[in-house]
Amino acid sequence: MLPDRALDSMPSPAARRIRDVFDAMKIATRVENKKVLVDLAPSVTRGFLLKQGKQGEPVRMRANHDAYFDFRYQGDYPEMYELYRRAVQNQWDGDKQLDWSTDVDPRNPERAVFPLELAPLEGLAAHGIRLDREEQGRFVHDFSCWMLSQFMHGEQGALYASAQVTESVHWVDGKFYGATQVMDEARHLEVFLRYLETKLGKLYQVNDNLFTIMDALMRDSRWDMKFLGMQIMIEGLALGAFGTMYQVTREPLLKELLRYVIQDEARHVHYGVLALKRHFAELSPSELREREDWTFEVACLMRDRFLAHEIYDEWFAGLMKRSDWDQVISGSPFLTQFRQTMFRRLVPNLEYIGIFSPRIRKSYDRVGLTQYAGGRNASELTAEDLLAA
Amino acid sequence: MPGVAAFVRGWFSEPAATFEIRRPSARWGTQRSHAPRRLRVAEVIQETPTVRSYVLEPVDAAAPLRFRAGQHLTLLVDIDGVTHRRCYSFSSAPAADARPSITVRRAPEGRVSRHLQQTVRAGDTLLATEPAGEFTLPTDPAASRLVVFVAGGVGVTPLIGLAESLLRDEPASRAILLCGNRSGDEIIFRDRIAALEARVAPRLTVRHALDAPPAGWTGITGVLDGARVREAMGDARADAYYVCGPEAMMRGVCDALAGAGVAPERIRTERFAYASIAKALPAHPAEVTFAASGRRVTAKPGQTILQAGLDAGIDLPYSCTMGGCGACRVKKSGGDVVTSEPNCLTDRERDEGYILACCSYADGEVTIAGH
Repeated sequence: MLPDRALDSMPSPAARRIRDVFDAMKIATRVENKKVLVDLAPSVTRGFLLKQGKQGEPVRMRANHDAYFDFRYQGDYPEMYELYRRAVQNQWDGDKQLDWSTDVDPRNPERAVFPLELAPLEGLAAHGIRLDREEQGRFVHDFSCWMLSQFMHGEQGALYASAQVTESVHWVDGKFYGATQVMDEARHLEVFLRYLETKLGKLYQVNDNLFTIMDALMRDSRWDMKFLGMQIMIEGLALGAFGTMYQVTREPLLKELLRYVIQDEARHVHYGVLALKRHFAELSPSELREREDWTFEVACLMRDRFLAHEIYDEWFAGLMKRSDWDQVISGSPFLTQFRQTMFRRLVPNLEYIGIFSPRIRKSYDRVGLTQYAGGRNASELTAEDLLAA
Repeated sequence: MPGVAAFVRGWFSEPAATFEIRRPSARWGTQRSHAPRRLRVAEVIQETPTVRSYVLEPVDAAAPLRFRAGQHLTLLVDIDGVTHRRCYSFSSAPAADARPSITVRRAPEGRVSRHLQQTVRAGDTLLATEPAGEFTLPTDPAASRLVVFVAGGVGVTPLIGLAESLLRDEPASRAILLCGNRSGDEIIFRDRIAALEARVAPRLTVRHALDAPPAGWTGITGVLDGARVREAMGDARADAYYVCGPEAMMRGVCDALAGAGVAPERIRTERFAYASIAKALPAHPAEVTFAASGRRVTAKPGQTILQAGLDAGIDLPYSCTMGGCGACRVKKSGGDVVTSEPNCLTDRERDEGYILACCSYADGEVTIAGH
C-alpha cells in the first residue's frame, strides 16, 4: 500500500479516491469466504469506488427476487400473527403525537441534540486540532445532522427492503406483519426527514458503508438473506444507534421521536428472529455456513466502518490524515457506546437463530465480539428493555 | 466510453459537498417554524448614549430574514444559564438594499438590554424567533393619505421604519412625525429623520419635543402628552395614527385623540409588557374548544391556553410567550380566563374579547373563536 506521505503529495481528490480504493481492497482481502466476497464485491464497488450514493442523482437498485404467492393461504404461524396484531394496535401518528412546535437549538447544552462531552474533542486536540467554543457548537450540530441523516437514509433502505421482504416471505402471517413494518418504516423516514428539515436544516449524503450494505440487500435474490440483512443486521444496527442516541440526547422532541421509533424497531427484530429461527433449522450445513460467513462480514463492516468520512471531508480534510481521523472517531465515547449497544443486541440474536456455530465463533472471538454472546435475544426483550439500554 | 471518462475525471476533481442545506418542505404544511434562528450581528451602531442599533443578518444566508416594517422579533438571551425572551422592534424598513436592524435602549433595570449592550459585538450571533407582530402599515401606491406617528423615546423604533416605507411606497401620501425625548442628545435617529424629511420634502413634517430643551430650542418644550400632540397637529385630520412610547404617554395621546373625535380603529399602538404569573391560577383542568376546527383540549392546572393548544397539535401563533408581543392574541367567544398582568393587550382589544393565549388560563370551559 502507498504510505500516507505519498498520498499527501498527490492532488487531494485523487488521494481521497485512492484511499477509497484501499478501503475497498481492505474489505476484499479480509473476507475469507470467497462466495461471500463475490456476493459483496459489486455492492462494494458501487458504494466505495463509484460512490453511487453521492452523485446527487437517484440510484436504481435492481431487485431480483420472487414475490411469493400462496393462493392456499398456508403457513400458519400464530406467534407471528400475534406480533402483527401488536403492530396494528401500536401504530402511531408522527404528526400528531410528536410536539413539532418544540424549539430545537442543537447548540444549547441544556437541551443538546448531541452532547458536547461525547464529541471526540480530545482526540482531535491530540492531532493539533483545537476547536474554539463557536466551532465546537458548529461541530456538534454538524455531527448531529450527519448521524440523523444516516438514520434517515437507513430508514429509506428499510422501507424498500421491508416491502421486498413482505413480497418474498412465505408465511401469510409474515405478510400481514410485513405490511405493518412497511408502514412503520415510512413513518420513521417521515419523522427523521421532518426533524432534519424543520429543526436542523442540514442533510448529509449517505455513508458509503451504509450504501454498500443496502445495495447488497436490495439486490440479493434470496428472501432469507434479505431477512437476515434487514431484520437482524440493519435493525440491530438501528437499535444500537437509536438506543445510544436516545440515551445521550437532551433534546426532548428527538428523545420522544426515538422512543416511538425504538418501540417499532424492537418488533422488527423480533419478527426477523421468529422467521429465521424456523427457516434456518431447515437449511443444509453449507447454506448455513454461507449465511454465517456473510453475517460475520457484515458485522465487521458495521463494527469498523461507520467513521463519518462525510464529516471528515467537510471539517478536517487537509488538516489531519484520514487514518488519524478514523482512529479519533472510532475511539470516541459515542461510537464506543454505539458499538457496545449494537452488538449486545445483535450477537444473542445470531445465537438464537442458529448462525453462531463454534466455527464462526472463533472469527467473532478474533475481532472481540464473543463477549456479547449469552445475552437476551429479541424474543426475550421488551421495548422497555431496549429503551433502558 | 463517457462513463469511464467521467469516472477518471472524478478522480482529479474536487468532490461535491457531502451535505445540503435544507429548508422545510411544503409537505409539512403551513405551520410556521417556531424554531429560533441564528442571526449574526453585522454592525453595532451607537445611536445615543443609551441606545444602540444592531444590524442583523441571517447565519443561514439561504434563509433571508423576512419582516414587515413595524414588526418585531423576540430575542432569546441566555444570562447565567437562564433564557430570557425579549421583543425588539425592527428599526428598519424592508427594502432591497436595507439591512434588518433592531434598536435597544439600555433600561436602568433592564437586565437583558444591559446584557446586550455590554456583551454583544459585531460578529456575535443572537438567537431569535421569526419576525412577528401586527403593528404594521399596509401600503398602496395609489393611496393619498396623512398618517401621524407619535413616538416617545425609543418608541420611535418601529415608527421610523413605518414612516420610511409609507413615504417610499405611497408617493402621494404625507406624514407627521412627532418625537418626544428628555434632552437633545437622546433624540434617536436624529440625522436619519432629518435626511428623510429632506428627501421627501414637503411630504414629511417632523416636530421634536424635549422635556429639558437647551437654550434657543425652537421645537416643542415639555413632555409629549395629549395636549401637546393636539397642539402640534393643529387642524390636521389624519387617516391613521401610530403611537409608540411609554405607557403613560400612549394613554395620554390616545385619550386626547379620542377626545378630538378620532375613531378608535384609526389609532394603532404598540406595547411591550411582560406578564408575571397570575397569582391565583385555576386549580382544576378545564376544557378549551377551538371553534374553527372544533378541537377540544384539556388545559391542565397551570397550563396556559397556548400550551394546551400546542400540546394538542393546534398551530397557534406565538412569539415571546410572555405577554409582551401580542403574537398569540386570540378571541375568546365564551367562558372565563385568568390572565397574567401586565401584558400588551389594549383596552379596546380586551373589550372586544381578545386574550393573549400565552398568559391566559382557562377557568372553566372556554371557547376560542378561530383555529
